[in-house]
Amino acid sequence: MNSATTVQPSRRPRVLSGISPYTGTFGKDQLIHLLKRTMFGATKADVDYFKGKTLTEVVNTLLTAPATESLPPIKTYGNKADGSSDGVTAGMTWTTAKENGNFNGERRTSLRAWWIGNMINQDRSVFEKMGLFWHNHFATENIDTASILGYNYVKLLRKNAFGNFKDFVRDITFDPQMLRYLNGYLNSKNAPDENYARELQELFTLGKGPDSQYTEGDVKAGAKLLTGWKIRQVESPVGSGNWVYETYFNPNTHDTGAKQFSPFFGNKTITGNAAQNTEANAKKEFDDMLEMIFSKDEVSKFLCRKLYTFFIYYEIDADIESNVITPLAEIFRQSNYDVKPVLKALFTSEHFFDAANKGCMIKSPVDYVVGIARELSIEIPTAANYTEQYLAWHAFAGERYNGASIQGQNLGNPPNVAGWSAYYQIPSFHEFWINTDSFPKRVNFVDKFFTNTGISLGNSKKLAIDVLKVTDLFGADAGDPNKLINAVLELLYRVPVSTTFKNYAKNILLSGQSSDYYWSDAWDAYKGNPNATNTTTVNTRLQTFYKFLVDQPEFHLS
Amino acid sequence: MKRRDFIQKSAVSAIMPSFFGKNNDLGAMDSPWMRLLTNAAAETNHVLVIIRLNGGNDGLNTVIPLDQYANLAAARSNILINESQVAKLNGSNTTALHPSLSGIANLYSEGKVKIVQSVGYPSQSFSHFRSTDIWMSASNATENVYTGWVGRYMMNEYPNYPEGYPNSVNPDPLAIQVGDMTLTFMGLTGPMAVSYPDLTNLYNFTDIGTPALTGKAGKELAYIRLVAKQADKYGDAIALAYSKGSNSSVAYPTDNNLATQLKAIARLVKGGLKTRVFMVSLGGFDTHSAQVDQNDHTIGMHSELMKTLNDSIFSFQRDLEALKIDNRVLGMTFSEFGRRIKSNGSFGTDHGAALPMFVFGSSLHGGILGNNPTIGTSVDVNANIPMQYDFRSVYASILSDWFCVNSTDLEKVMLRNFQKLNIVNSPSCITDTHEINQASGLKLISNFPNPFDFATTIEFQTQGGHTMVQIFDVEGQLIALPVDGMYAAGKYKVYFNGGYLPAGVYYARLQNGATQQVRTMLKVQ
Repeated sequence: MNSATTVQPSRRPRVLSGISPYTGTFGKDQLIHLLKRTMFGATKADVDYFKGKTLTEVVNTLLTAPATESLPPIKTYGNKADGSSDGVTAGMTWTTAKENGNFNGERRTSLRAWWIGNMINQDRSVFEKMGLFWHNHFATENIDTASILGYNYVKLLRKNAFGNFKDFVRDITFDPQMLRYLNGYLNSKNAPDENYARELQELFTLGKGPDSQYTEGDVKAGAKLLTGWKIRQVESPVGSGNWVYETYFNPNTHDTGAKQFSPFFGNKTITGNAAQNTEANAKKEFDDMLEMIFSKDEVSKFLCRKLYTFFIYYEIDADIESNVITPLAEIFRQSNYDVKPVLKALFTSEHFFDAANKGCMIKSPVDYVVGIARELSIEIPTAANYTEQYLAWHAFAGERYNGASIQGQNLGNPPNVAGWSAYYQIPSFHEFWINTDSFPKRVNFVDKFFTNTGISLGNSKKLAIDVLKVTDLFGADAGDPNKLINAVLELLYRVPVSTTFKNYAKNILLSGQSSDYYWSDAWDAYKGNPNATNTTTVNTRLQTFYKFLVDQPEFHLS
Repeated sequence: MKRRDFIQKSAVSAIMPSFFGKNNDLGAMDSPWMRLLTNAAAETNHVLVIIRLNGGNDGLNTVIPLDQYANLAAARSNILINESQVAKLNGSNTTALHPSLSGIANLYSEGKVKIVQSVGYPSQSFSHFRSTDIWMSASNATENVYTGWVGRYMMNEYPNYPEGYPNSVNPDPLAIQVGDMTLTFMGLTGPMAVSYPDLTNLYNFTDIGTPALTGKAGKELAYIRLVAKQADKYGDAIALAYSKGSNSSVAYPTDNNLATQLKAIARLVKGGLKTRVFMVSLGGFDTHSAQVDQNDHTIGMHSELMKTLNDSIFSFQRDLEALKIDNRVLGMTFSEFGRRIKSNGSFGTDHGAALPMFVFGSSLHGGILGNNPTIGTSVDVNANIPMQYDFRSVYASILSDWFCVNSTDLEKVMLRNFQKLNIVNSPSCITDTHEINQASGLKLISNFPNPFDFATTIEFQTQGGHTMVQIFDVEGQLIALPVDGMYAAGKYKVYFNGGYLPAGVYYARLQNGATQQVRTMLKVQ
């Protein structure tokens, strides 16, 4: 070798793989990669379930929505200190009650707990993760609005999780929560409010890429077109005690005049029907605008880039734009904006399984906490103990125990209409999830589960990681420290570790002894006779072992 | 501070002007608070360095009972060290050390080593794991305690940790475990120590972690590692002490990780790190076979270990002396058990019972405590050395005489009373830091009286919302739940009637949001 050779600064090699179907080995490693990206963590049971199935079979299952929707969130909160109540019976849903500003906080907490509970109990499906994707995409902040609107909004995200994007845009436009959040309900002929018309183009459909050239005039025209929509909560039927929110049309505040769009939209004009100023005609105007917006290829590209960032990685260079985004967007348009074909192409593509894209996603706080619940089999009280069940869910979602909201992702309350900066902010993207404040909180969150006291939920219920149960999942491997370490790392980590690292972990199981059989003997003794001493012996070591693994930086990568 | 210490130190203190109001008595002048205020004087904290010998050390080939030689030769001829090759102990014709322990014999002659004979506990467990847990938790062999003895000492001395830590009084880790976290340091709600794989390079993640990962995953992993390093609340303090500190010109052995870690500890202590307890370990003592070379019993596996231990301790002690911090540091070795009296056919020994411990440093009563074990003329294959001293007596003596733990607190930490041994010789037992440590950090729960005979009042502070106070016994059983409900932020008191409980140690644990804190309570009859 010529010693005079100048070494160029190392540059990451180009990733040239595209969306051609992946034809390489679809083994355990690829399966776990797929599951971690599309679900919240991969459990041992998930991996076992899919073992031996083809990539197509697995993805088909993952693209199936749950057969039944979860029962709505229920009341587990009490009365106010002054004794006042919202009239809802404990254990019954508050989502059909009359709006009550005094109980919004309690109900929002309930909604958030319920939502994360759905994630923890997820089917083997991308469904729940798509719900989070859409929440970030069509972001609204519950904190500003009524809790029942928030619930309706979440239901809408779920209804359209695997649906048609164009339909979804229509639905969200007239969703009472969105109308309230972006002031659509105040948008009237005499006082147009541009808020929604702007975000519809800038954040929801076209984005701000170089090929998105809508103008301020288009925002104004859109705002004018969207005048006249109001929201209200009505008892239905009257006297039933069942309250629902609805969006209704007030012709008096709708502008039926001509809306002139820019050359970007081919100078299109959409005019209302002054003679028949009806809800149907106003919706027709909207549909015309929707078609106009969706006639731009940029819509499909924008959404594909967001899906890419959410499921694969945040860097989209020229190669990825032309090999992945462009063909995916083509599929999206050909399917008339059905989401499933795009997801299917993405999750079965050679690019998805490109080694370059493995283990490079920093888990979002929701991904992190729900993944911990699932992968480490944390037992959550059942509906029979709904108070403790909601408290447990709250521990994952909320503030009390350094849950996701404290780690920077408050489900139901993204920082603004653009969603969480980790999903869009150049250049750091999901590195935003980890900083010197959030990292110790993430570690503290999981560490509490490795003590014998755990988090006490009351009523003799506690939240803890049962390390014996987790270890038992690995069957015969549990008795061999090398096999156990490999099996646990295979499931929990997406990046390889050194031999030194494995020895360090093994040293915990062996208590510093040099022979593997000491662990085997201890495990076998426990399995043969799980008395207090045999149990404590393995429990102590396993707690330290798992705690060590989840406290490492590697665990935060998916 | 004890009266006699005050007299020794007052010469320095007396020349300082007393303009600190009513605290103008000389005794107060040398308090840690004063040192803090004046930013004067070096650290005076006592430090304990625990050296763990993993695997069960063969005590009979470590501390050799010369007066039992004939019987010993009959029981373990294939591993016995020739009487002419042992390291002699100054002033003793009956007890000697392994030939590789010449440095320790040297320190012994200077009164810097205490040998405690035949240390163990009743109902010996021959399981590495179980016996390690017993030694680390300082429990009876019949109970399962999942807190460690140092952890309980820390819980008692620094009851508010980790709430409000680090702080100006306790800016540094209370304890450092080198290597994997162990039970020794476990408190009721988590470790009272921090652990690092290597004290000379706290953040050498690439050594322990993923090897040279490149690409996107490598970029993100490097990022998270950087944040993890920045977020370590003790990382800067340790790095500061490491840079302020230094080692002397004393040479340490190379290619000896125990020595490397001890060297780093000397440097950190010299650099002002206030950490009280360090634990390091040396593995490989489970010498079932090839403990010695068949042809030369002075070489082989055990000899290598003895040499590693000897060279490390000797260099460490000499370094501490040169750095003039030797009066502040005490060392101690322990192993989960000794080995069988009778050797096996593989030139090794199987799991045994009691074994000698070394305590070393400049602040102790050197010498040998206890008698040589008695070896019978015909040793059964299962015969073991019975204990003369309970290992918890050694712990209790160190806690009492080195860390100045009073008798009530000692019972809280050790869970019962133990015989005190004459080990530590410290003229500077500082007790006035105790109250400061009690107040250090954020106090969220306390109880009075403590100890209590039938009832005690628990005072707790909540930041509001759901608040719970649970009472646990030492085996982790939930005994009572005096507080469980929604509270407005503030301080509350609850009367806890524990009259029905057996005497012993109980823990009151406050849970309020992400916060938890524990008080150790002693119930007396």
